[in-house]
Formats: sequence, C-alpha cells, structure tokens
Amino acid sequence: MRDPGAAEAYDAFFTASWSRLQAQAYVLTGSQEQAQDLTQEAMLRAWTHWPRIAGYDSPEQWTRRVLHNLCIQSWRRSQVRRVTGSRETPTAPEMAEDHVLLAEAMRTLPGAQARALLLHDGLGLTVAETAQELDVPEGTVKSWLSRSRKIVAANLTRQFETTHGGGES
Amino acid sequence: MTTPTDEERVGIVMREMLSSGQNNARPPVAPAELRNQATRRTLRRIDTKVVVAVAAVAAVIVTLIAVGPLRSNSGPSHAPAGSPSTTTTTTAPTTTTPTTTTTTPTIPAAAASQLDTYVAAEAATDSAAASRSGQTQPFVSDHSPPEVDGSGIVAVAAFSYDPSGHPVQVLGYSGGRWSEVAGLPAPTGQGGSNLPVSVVYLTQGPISVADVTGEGRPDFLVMASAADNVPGFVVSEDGGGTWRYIPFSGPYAPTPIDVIARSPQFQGNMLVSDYDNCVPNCAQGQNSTIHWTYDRSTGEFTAPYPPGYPNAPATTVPSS
Repeated sequence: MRDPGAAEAYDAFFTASWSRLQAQAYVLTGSQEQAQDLTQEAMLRAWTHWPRIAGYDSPEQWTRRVLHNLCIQSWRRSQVRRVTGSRETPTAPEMAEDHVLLAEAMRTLPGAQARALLLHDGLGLTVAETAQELDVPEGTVKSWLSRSRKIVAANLTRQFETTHGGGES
Repeated sequence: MTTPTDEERVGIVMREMLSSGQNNARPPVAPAELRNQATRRTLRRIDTKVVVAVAAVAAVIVTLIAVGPLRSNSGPSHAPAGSPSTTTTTTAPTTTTPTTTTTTPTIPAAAASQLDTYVAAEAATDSAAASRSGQTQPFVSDHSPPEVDGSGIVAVAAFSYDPSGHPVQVLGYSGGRWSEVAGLPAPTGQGGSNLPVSVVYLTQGPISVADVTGEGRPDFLVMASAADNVPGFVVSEDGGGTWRYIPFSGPYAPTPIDVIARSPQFQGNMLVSDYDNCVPNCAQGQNSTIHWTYDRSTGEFTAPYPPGYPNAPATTVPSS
C-alpha cells in the first residue's frame, strides 16, 4: 500500500505534465487520439514505477522516454498494418497540412533520430542534454539532427512556403 | 525576406505542432482512475504469473513422476495407480528405425473391483480344493491393488493353498479381464519347513506395494504367518519378465531364504523388519530394526548384523 503522499505527488505530476507529453506524442504520431492513448499508457507506467521515479530529478523525463518509445513502437505496428493491408489510424481531418507533413516525415526517420529532433528542435534541449537523454555522444546527436532536418525540411518545403510566406528577399 | 534554414523551418513547424497539441491535450481519465487502472493491471499480471507458475510446477512434477526421478521417493516407483504407462512400438513409414513412444493411460476404474471378484472366485475354488486335500489351516487369500508394471497392469494374489502349486500368483489385466500371468510355488523359509509347494501360511491383509529394489517397478510384500510373529516375503519382477521371490541374504541370513521375520514392512521405499535377539529369551530380548538393502549384483536383500546379534562382529546397524 502506497502512502497518500505518493498519490498526491503523482496527481500533481500528472496534471502538470499531461499536456506537454501528449503534445510530444502528437508530433511523433500525427494523431491526437493516438497521442492521448499513448500518453495514458506512459502515465500508467509512471504510477507503476512511481516509488522509484518519484525520487528522480525529473519524473517527467522518465515518462517522456517511455512515451517516445511507445510512439516509435506504434510506428512499427502501423507499418505492419500497412504490410498486412489493415486499416490505418485515420488522421484528424482538422489537422493542419504542415503538421501532417511533419508527422509523416518524422515517421520516416529512425526512432532515435526522430526523438533527437523532437528533443532539440521541438523542446529546446541543448545538444548535450539531448545526447544525455538518448545516451549517445554529442557528435552523434549533431549528425542525426543534420540528417533528419534535411529529410523533414524537404518534406515541409513545399507546404511551408505556402503557409508561412517563405521566399527570397 | 530571408529563406529560413532547415533548422528554423523544422523548429517552427514542430513548435507550432507542439503548441497545437498541447492546447488540444485533454487527459481522458483522472489521475486517481489511472492509478486504479495501474493497480488492476498489476494484479492481473500477478494472477497470470501465479497461474503460469503453478502450471509449470505441475508440468515439472508430472514429468518427473512419469520419467522416474520422483518415483522412488513416494511409494511405488512405478506410475501411481490411475496413471499407468504403456509402451508402443511403431515403425515410421520413411525409415527402418523403430520409434518408441510412451503414453500414460489410466487404470480402468473397474479394474480394482474386477480384481476383487477374480480373487474371490479363485479363493473359493482353492478353498474347496484345500478342504478336499485335508488342509487344516484356515484358508486365507490376500491381494494387492492393481499396479502398473512396465507396459502392463498387474496385481499379486496369494492363496493359502493352490492345487496347481501356485499359491502366489501374479495377475495381469488385459482386455477388461484379470488372469494369471505367473505362478510361484510356496516361498522357502516358512515356519513349518518341508511344506508342499502348494501351501503358504498367510496373514489376512492387503499386500503392500513399494519400489524397494529401486528398479523402477513395483515390489509386493506378502504377509505370511508364523507361531509368534508375522513374517513376510517379497514378490518382484526381475526386469526380464520373470517373477520371483527376492531372497534375504547376508550376514544376518547366511542361507538365502524367501521369508523373513519379524514383521517386515515397507517404509517408503525401504524394507525393514524387526529383530529380537531373544537373549535371555524372546520376551526379554533386545529389539532393533533391520534395514534391508537390495543388492543388484546378487538380486538379494542383504543386511548387516543387527544390534545384539549373538557372536556378531563389531559392526552393526544402529538401533532404531
């Protein structure tokens, strides 16, 4: 039986972290519905491991890592669905097109590279912090970022110029 | 206006997407409900693990019983009643090498009652014959429960008198019927020497079963009768299909005999008997227990001198 203080701490963590985590899952999956399901699963696991992760500097970092892994695993499952001809999870119709393109591009990246891009370019972590979270050297992170940006940017270019007015001065 | 770099373009869209995702993020459940879900899932996993663990342990135990290691630790070394083994040999169509498979069917529920009926009928016949031949001993018949011996179901029955000279019989169960598969003459070493082979002195009671030879087959202990104690003898199959009495030999029994006194009994898979050195007389003598060991090289039971054995060397078995 856990002490009531643990439940209170978890509830506070849950309330503070949920929207941030679901947003990250949204970037990685391109589906709010799927992002919600995966965030719920990650949060559930966080409570299961709460006695341990409550002592961490950032329980959200641990949960984020779990969530990102769940998202990448969901890519693999959807790839299997594609191969077997099963129905894809539909994308929300109101989703902006550049968001769709970003999500599509992210899914073409290796999982670790997609995570690196999200952590660095999306969440604003430094290269060193990203390298620490992914447990790889900083040079690897820089290489991954450079490579994955090119892929994602190429996918975005056409739509970006339309919606953000990009062009030569 | 400048063209944004790849990093800028990706960063802009990603941050927009994060912002949009965050604005639309709604937890579908309250944290308390999620905590409850986690607890229920943990309990389900524990339940599953327990079920899997119990099933695995049961499978291991069944395997050990079927294969053999556990047989010698709990009663008869053969498969327990209700789970006999039968061996069938078939030849695969694509090879000349025979393939042997072992199955463990169940002893038919009717076998025990059919055995009772068979022995009762045999006893009635033998008892009548005993009367006709002038036997004065009360007629006694004993039998064991059905047991699995290798590929068959067997039982041992003993009759005080059998006109065919087989007062001890091994019965086999096949096709829903019991029949005699081996007949033994009276064992040697009975109290009244020079008895005919058709006569055995018996004590009324069941015939015990255990694997006292450690050969993986049932051995049967028949309780005999003597003036002042209950001796006994062991019936066993030698592994080659021949049924016999296992003689008692060694220092305590320098002349091998089939019947041993006093009060032999199976204790687990050990055969023990009582010893009274009758010094100064049997009423006041030193009592001890003899533990018999089966000697595979000679096919006999052997035991050292028991405590108090007159004129025995120094080495004796401990008194118990």
